[in-house]
Amino acid sequence: MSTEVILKAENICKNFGLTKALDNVSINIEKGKVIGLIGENGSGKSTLASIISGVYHPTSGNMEFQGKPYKPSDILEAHRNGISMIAQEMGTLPGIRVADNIFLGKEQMFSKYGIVNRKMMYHEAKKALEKIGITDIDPADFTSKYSLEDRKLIEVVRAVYSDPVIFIVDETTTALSQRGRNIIYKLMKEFRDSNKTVLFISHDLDEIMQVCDKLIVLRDGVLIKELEKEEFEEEKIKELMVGRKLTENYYRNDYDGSFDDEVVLKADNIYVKNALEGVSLELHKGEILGIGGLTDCGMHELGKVLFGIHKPLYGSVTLGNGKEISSVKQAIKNRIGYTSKNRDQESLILNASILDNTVLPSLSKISKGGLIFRRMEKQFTDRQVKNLRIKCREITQDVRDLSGGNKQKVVFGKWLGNESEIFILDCPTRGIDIGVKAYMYQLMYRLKKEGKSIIMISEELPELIGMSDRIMILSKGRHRKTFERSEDLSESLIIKEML
Amino acid sequence: MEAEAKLKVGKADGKSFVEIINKLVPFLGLIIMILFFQIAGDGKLLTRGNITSIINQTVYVAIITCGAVFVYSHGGMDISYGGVIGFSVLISILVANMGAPFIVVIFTGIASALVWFILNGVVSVYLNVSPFITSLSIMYMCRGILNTVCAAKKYSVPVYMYSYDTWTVKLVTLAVVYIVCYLLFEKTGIGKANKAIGGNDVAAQLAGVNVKATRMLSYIISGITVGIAGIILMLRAGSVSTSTGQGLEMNVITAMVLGGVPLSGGSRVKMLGALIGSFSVIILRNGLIILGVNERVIEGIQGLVLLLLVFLTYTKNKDGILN
Repeated sequence: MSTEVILKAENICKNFGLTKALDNVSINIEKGKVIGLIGENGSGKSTLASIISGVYHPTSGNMEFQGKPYKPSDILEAHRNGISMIAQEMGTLPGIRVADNIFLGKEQMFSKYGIVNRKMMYHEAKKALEKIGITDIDPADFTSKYSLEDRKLIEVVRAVYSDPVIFIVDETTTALSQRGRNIIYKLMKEFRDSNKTVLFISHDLDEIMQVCDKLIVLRDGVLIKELEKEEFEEEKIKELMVGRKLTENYYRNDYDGSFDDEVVLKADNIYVKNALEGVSLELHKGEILGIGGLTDCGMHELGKVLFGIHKPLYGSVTLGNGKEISSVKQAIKNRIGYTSKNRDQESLILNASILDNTVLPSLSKISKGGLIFRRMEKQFTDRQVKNLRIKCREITQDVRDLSGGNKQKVVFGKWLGNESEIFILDCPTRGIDIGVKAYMYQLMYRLKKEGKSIIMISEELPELIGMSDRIMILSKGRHRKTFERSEDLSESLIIKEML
Repeated sequence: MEAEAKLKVGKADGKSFVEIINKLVPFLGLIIMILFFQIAGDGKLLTRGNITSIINQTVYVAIITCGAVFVYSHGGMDISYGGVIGFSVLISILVANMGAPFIVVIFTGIASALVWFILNGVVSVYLNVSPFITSLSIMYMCRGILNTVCAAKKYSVPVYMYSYDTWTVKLVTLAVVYIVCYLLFEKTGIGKANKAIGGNDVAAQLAGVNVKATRMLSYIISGITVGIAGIILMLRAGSVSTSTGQGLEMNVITAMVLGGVPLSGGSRVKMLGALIGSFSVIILRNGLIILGVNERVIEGIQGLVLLLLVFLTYTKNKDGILN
């Protein structure tokens, strides 16, 4: 394996207003390696990737690519140079066909005298999809027909079609199930084997340790350390990322899976078209009930039904006292809180302040004689910000500017402030760095001890095993099996039931 | 540590300074416009007669804008104000001429404006038609009725009504409408729900906001304010013609933009902006007349000012997204 440097970045600084996102970062990126870029939210890893891929311009500093000065003015120029990225949030256009998305901006490849040969385009798109092992996507279909996961894969095909020299993958795998991840891992391996480079950004430490040959750790915009494969050690990397020793245990450390006998929420034989086929569950007081399975097993839909967002075709959701939940309003009134898997789209108003977001479900609680006073709103929000240790300049600051972990804390603050007794948490730690993640687990455990009940829907088996009193596994819309909390529970035992 | 602490303080100061300036822009704009026209117009802007004329025009624009804020804050829109107010004035005058008591005239006027807004609400909220199309159609329907009825004959208010066209009536009405709208918008769940929907309707719904009912209620509130403004306009104009209310929608939208109300809605919408902006738009028009600018040219200038301001606020938003 050669260790020839393909891209060199020297003293890169990037400021956003007064915030220093990157401070004098110098790195070398070698050929034939999968290089992991790791750090907490706000550490600057995405910014660094965005500079290399031409999305941002550095405030100062130089880059050298294949021995020549490299200063891309935009993504397209970087792309022409052979650097392409699949980003965390960039997407496909839903209103056009799959093939159009794959060849966006490259239509002239198939055009003769200004007319695009669509047949040729579809054929080529099919070949490109099959090359990475996707056979169930028809390039002539509209993109909107496909799930988020499939659309992400279409994006991947677009990115690798031009055969880039450096392939940047930014947090893409968080949105994918095991199948999608496998496709990406395989692609990465192919890149490495053909002496090209992959720059891989992820929160998932296990994942990154498995697939990378080298790690670059960033913290607060500063390069902390570069690690070679033989130096990988989970605890050490975590310490480097967080900047302190993680003394507390990550998950809860008891194996006492006990809870009250009292049932607080009950779902009875829930049917939802194309998602759930007769699922029942009982949630008890003081219980953390984990729900797991593959992304499309129906568990996310189940969370929505339990909170009254979607009405089931058949079946009912009732509280312990027999009252039926059939709308979000009713659910909230009966002290149920819900955090969506798609936090930024469904749980938060990004352009509104922490205060506006926090008080929204509780407005009737803090109004006096029908009027809501600013002082009350501030007190209410201050309490949650202090209680959850939300890092912010001021409570009137827009939620948009907060890091992923702090955003999620604001969502928790909404429901804690509303004195929720039942929490339905759909992927509560998705896209959150380990520091805040550990805090979230502690918080969930504390809530359990206080007698609150939690349903945790998750795609991550370690956290299901680590936190749940019981784990319900769904598969293809049906309840497959329930596991009790135990020391002997392993991932492989559960995976068998998921497929 | 010390350096870090200082940085944080510096950041906070910087941020709030920008925020304060942003909040002050509508006021500064109004003051600068007053100063400019007062000086350039050789003091003709702030004469007793002209102030009267400014306030006369501002009152009904401001009343409508206060209601319009509810609709625009949740991301809705309406451009039927001019047509609907013309229709409302027409019906009020017809009813008044039939000998109905004043209080009945008032309720008829409000009801005849409200009907159109309920129609707009039902069609755009519950049938999911773009409110732009709905209100455009409503504007044309109202104009059609007005043009048909007023083509041959001019209708005037009964003489006794001239006595109601006083300062007390106008300013008290404006004050009451503003205070009620202010409280509803800034201090109750109705306004908060509207802003939340304007920011992210899915998140608002998942926080327990009844999105459709809230949007519908906004159209109802807006309809009532248009009706009230119609009464004020009727008392002042004394008659109705095919041109009653023409161009009013443009004044309302310009008022919001000059008052710093983002037309896309969301948490930055402020009721005070409606009031300030209404004065700004009328003073802009009035000042240009004083400077001897042709009325038709003024319309062009107003269009340009609106576009420029929307453009400026647009780039600001984009910047925010990049961060």
